[in-house]
Amino acid sequence: MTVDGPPERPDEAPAQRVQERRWVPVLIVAALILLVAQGAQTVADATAGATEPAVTVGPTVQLQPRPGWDLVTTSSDPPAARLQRGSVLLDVFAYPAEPAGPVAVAQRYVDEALRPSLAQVSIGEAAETMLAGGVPAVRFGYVGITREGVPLEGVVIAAAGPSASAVLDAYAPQGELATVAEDLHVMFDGATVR
Amino acid sequence: MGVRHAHLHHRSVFQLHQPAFWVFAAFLVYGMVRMVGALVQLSAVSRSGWALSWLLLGLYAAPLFLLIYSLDLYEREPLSVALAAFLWGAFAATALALDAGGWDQVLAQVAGADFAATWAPALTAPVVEEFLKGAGIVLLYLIVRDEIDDVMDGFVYGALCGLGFAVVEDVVYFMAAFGGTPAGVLQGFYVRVLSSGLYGHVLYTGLVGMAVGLVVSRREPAPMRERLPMAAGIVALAVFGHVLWNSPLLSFAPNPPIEGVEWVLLPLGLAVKGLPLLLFVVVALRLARRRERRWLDGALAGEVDGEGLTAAEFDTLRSPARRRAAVSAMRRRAGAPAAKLLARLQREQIDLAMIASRVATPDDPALIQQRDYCRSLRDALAAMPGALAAAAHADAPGR
Repeated sequence: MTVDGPPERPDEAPAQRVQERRWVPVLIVAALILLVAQGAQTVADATAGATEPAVTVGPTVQLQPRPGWDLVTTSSDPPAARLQRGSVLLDVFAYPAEPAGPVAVAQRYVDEALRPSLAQVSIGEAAETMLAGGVPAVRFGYVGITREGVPLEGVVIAAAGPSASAVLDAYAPQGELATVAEDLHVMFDGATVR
Repeated sequence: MGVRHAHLHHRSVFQLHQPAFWVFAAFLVYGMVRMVGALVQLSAVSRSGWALSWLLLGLYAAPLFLLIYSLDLYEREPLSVALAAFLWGAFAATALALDAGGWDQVLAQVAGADFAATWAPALTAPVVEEFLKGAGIVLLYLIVRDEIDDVMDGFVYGALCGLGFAVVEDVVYFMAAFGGTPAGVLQGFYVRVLSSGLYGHVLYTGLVGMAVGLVVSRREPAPMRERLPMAAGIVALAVFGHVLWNSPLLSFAPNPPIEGVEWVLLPLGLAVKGLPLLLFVVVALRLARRRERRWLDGALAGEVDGEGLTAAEFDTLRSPARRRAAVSAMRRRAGAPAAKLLARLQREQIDLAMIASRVATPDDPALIQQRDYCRSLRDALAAMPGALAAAAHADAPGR
């Protein structure tokens, strides 16, 4: 003997039985997922305006912001720009050429900019990498605490191009940096240092 | 028998006729494409650190997966559904959560960058992530309705989903926030897994799964008007736990860089935020187990000493430890095929309870059919050399 469907619940008359192949609840769940995942970006993009044009720092360093990144400030001494997405900041600095290579650029940035600006900082091991056009660079992460006591995490790319060097420093309150890891990867890889 | 089983129980996730399956699969494929690409990109930071991340997280996740998977003592969940929950958390929920990063921007635009810098992790991520993980559990329920039928089922699938999410999130953290080098990965593993690996997504999504299980359960005697507020409370507790974890409140753990005695203080400081919720979940699981046993007793009350279940078998069935011991004794005395058959008989007797709890009358054809099937399995077992002696040994007083 075979049974065509699941046994009926004692509190359920046959006419009231739940139809298993229902589209409505599935479509509601799918719509809510899309609303939560994509809706915010739509709202954020609409209120943030169009994608920023490429940011040029000094005449030698160029970086294309990903959608959602805003240019917040620029300065000329040293040539620098600050981009922001949510709680993540990305500082871009252009420096004179460094014949000793990217490790020296990184070391100088740590000693002269990073350590003095934070109450505490722990620097990760540097790994060699390369920017667009084959410019040699090193990448390292760091964690630290601001003078206001906010725990930060950051990642730095220090590059030594033929006529300039550059530092790209992305940082955020602890736990936030990972949300833009993909953006940073694309922007870092596409950055040019002439 | 095949038709009955296809509808009642132990179904795989591959229910191609279910619309929910295709929606689940579409989001999962999207998540895999998005996250695999992102994870491979991260390997460029340090291949050795990347490989070490996966190795360490595999060593953490594999035993935890088995532990969670074996929590439901009476009704082991289908492996394909359990894996689907894990993969949803690992790929679909993480990818969708990355897409939902725009909520941080909205918060920054509404409340200011300084406020967002401090509070965005606590105010956006918990709501978004728990919703996205929970939505996967709801889709799984819509695919295999009979497999999520109790708070324990919901916890198992929810916790596995949370575990998947935690594994991929940890890899991203190790590579992006801890530098990605082997030394950074080891530090990240200590901070995020060894010091706090039991407090995070596994607990939050386990609770969300419990809420889903409570609402959809067909064993739950409480009416829906009582279940819904209770489920909402459980979800709120999960989100609150996540909010507290991400917020600057009660942050007694030392901040990085961690040095000297701070390595010891770190897990203690993190426990202040995480341990209360862990203890709550442990108590909730114990209560859920007791409730499962009460359900089993009630469902099989009319079946004991009947065709499908002897009194001795019922005593064994009530205790997972005794069930394992009986199967083990059968294996020793009558061989692996007999042990396999006994385990199958036990599973079918759990199904007998499931059917008995759902049908209106004791002479329902499905119930009679299941009794007959259990009896036929018992007869087949008795015909195997050594099986009767093993059963008598297992049923002996004092065991």
